[in-house]
Amino acid sequence: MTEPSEPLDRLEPLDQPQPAVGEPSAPPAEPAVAGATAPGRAAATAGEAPADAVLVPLEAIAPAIRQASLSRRAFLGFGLALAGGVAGAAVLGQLFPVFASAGDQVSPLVPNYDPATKAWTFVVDTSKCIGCGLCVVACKEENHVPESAAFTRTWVERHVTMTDGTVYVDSPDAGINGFPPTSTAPGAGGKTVKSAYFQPRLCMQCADSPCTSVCPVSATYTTQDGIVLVDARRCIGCGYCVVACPYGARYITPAGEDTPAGTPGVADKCTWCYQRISKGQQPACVEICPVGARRFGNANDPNDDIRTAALAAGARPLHPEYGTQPRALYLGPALQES
Amino acid sequence: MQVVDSTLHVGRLALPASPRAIRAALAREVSAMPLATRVWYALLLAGLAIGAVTAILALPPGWEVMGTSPSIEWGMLIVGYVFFAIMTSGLCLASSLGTVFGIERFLPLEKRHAILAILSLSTAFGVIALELQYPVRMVFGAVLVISPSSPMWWMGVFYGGYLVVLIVEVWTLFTNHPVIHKYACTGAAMIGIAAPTTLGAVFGMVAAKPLWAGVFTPILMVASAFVGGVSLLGIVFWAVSRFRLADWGRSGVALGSVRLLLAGGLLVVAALLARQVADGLTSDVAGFRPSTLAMVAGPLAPAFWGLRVAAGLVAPLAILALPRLRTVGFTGLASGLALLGIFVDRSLFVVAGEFVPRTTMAGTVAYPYVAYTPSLVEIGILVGAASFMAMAYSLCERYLPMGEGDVHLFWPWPWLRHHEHGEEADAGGGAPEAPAAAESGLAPAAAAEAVP
Amino acid sequence: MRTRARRFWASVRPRSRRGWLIGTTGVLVGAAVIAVAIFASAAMAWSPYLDFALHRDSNAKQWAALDMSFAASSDCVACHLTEASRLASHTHAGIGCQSCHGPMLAHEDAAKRGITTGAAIAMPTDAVCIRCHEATEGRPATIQTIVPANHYVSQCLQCHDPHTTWALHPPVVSHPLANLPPCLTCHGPDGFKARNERHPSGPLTDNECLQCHQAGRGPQQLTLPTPQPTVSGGAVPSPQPSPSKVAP
Repeated sequence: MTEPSEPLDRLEPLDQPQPAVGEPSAPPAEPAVAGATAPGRAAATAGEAPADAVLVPLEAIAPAIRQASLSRRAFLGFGLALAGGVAGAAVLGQLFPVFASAGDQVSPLVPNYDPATKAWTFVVDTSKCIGCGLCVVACKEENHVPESAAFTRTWVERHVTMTDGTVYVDSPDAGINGFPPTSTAPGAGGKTVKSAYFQPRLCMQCADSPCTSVCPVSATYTTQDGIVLVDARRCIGCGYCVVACPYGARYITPAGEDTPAGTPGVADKCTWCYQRISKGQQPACVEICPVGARRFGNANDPNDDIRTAALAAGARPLHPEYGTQPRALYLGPALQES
Repeated sequence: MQVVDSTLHVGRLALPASPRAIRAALAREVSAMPLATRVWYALLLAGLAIGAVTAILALPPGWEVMGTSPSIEWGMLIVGYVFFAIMTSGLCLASSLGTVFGIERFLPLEKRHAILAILSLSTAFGVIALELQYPVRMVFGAVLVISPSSPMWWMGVFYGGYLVVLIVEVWTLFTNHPVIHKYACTGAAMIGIAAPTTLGAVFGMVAAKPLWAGVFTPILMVASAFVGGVSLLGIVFWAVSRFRLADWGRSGVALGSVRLLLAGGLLVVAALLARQVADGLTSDVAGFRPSTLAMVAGPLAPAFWGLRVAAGLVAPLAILALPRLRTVGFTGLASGLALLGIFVDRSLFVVAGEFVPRTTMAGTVAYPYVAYTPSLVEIGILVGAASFMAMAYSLCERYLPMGEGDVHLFWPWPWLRHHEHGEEADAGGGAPEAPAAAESGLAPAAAAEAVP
Repeated sequence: MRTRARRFWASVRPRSRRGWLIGTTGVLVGAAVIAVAIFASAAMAWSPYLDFALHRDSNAKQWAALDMSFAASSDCVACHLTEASRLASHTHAGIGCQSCHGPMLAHEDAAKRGITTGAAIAMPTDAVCIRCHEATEGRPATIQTIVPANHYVSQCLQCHDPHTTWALHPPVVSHPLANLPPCLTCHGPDGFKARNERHPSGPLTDNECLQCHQAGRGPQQLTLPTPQPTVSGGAVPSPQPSPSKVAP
């Protein structure tokens, strides 16, 4: 705010349209300034002003002129500073080469681990699964998944088909305590069971994953070896990926003792135990499965038995109609139902 | 800028500068209000207090204060965001008929359009900030890292740009920059279509939720936006007319436009809703029919038939159709019902989409329906958001010159300017309370003129 | 255009030497601040070499560097050769040690460092056995299952050795059972031939005693694994007929 005592003759007349005070009907496009009190400057601008300009005393519009001059100066100054700042940042970027370029060899994730050579594949054999739920226990233990059964990276479902054709799915506490003898699905009691099987579930690590494409801040991404991970430092917790995942593999981490990435309120999901597979280990659920219903391997490796034992046996993704190209494949009765 | 007797003089505006002076000024304001106004502000303050408490509870990331779960991750706060956001677009679409297309009868009271639009967009941003776990990161993440594959990112781009354009629009409206204002209005109208379209795409591109997916979702979103905006205008114009606020003489003309627009919008929305239900009931896409059935015949059916269809579509259309009910009061009533219908519509849309999950969600089998009850925090935040918008609008109505064209001098901060040029003439048709409302602001004329 | 630019410049140019000084300094300082801010935030976002970067490789590295709790099952054999060879010859062969004994990475690390104390192994409880061996809808017929209500379940490991899956031999009752008082008359805590500590201490009915101690019970049955027909059929297993007091 300028002082009102500033002498008016230090102000330049403006070409900004200045409607005359007290004459609202004056054409707004006409410059309405004149230099009665500043003759020298008035002479400089008088030639450019239209002849029928409405002349008002400079004092009357002085605050407006002062204000306009101020905001113009601020605008110009800020613009110059911004342009200089951008240029300066570019120079700084050249002086301190902290950015990775295409030719840079980014330090490996883990020594001796080359993600580019891996085509990690997970095969779940639903004809083998016995529904013990140890995989859920192992996952929570290995990955510090929240204790609550409502937030689970991997879980086991039981699909029970009745003789009347209805299918009941239950997963009491995500299967972490195993399964009771009969289905707990509402309405399943009293019906005659035709067939039943257990379906372990986990993130499918889709090659064309909806969760990565919908993320508004690119917090979730696919690594070179095909694992979909969430950057907990970037996630805003909007829940869009949770909604968009057709396999229901995601949740927003609640605050509590166990938070997988150490950050509450961000999206979390199965990583196929990235800390293990990048060191040549099997995921914890594969490690613990007593019947070999879960298998894991590198489909690029010709010696890996994932190729012979699982892929050759005709493993296919669940619900291929979503078109997400999952990397987790299934064998057994789950395929018939899907 | 100087301080004299506990009063801060900025230009010609006199602001109380000490606690005592502020208290005295507030007391003066309150004592000048009629009882009904006091009750209105007290109610809004109570709603704001509820909103503030619940907002604080919702701030820490990961606190499970919402009724949501992985199965129904998007609950009432998303509904609230969608509701307020599309209302913004509807207001701009409605006002664009006057400002962009130059149809005279839609021109009146455009200041109210603009103020309401900017307020409802701010409210929407506030609600979404509370729904997000890390709202501050969004600014960083969405600006530094472009994510063009995400409909939500585009929505952020459009609504962020929308806020800028609306600020320019309101600014130029109150500072009388007709040229910039015209461009801003054109921009606002264009974004007014683009923004709800991307908001619809946020839902429409989720293949996992068959009720949401599809090209008709953005169209329905734009149509709902239009109805929402127009019905809010109807309510406000009714209030303007009822309480004889500034420029109330013109609201009669405006109410005619509102009736026309509202009836058209409701018909379009009804057709789109019928198409949605028919499509859902005949679809063989897995999960689509169960979701639609949950809405029209399941647990959501009472809300759907009672609130959405009967109260939100049939009743307002009937009111608008009957010639005998073409009064200010009934137009306001029809607008209110339509607005309720739009809110229920968006709630049902969001909830029913997730109500019958196609798969187990993070290990939880929801059978046959997901259990979802909005928590008190969610309801409190929505109450607070509505109160904020009503409060801010009431204050604008009270302290900003809402009459038309009373700003003729270039002066960028109109509220710092003492009203001396012709607002009596602008007060509109000899409304007795309008000048009082305009002058009872923070700049009492006597106080300002007493200072050299 | 040029006129407009000249007018604009005339309206904003500094009016005095002091104005020039202030204006230039302000623009330069502002440009420097903006440059540093842009550079720092861009570096934070995209430099893979900074720990706080939002760069993807640095995030994948964080995921890869998380602590593990499970060891590789193949490592156990290196020390526990005896148990491993016992396990390998029986029906539990192929089941990783950690399936029953829990995560063992801490144990392995301690053992590798030569620490033997505190490297305890969790012993499985009945609940672990029941997880797999309870008759349940959907469980494949290849799994030997029981109905816990009809099985003497209080302590699985009292009779079964999971590394061999053989049950210990409960002695078959050698004396005649007809026309005798309840078992606990003689085999109760005060009887002349009290049961040993492997037995539950509470009162038992004769039927419960005979579940294990009748003729024909014991390892013979386990060597002939007849899958429960009720499981493959998917129906609820019917209760086994209660054993008669008369020896067959």
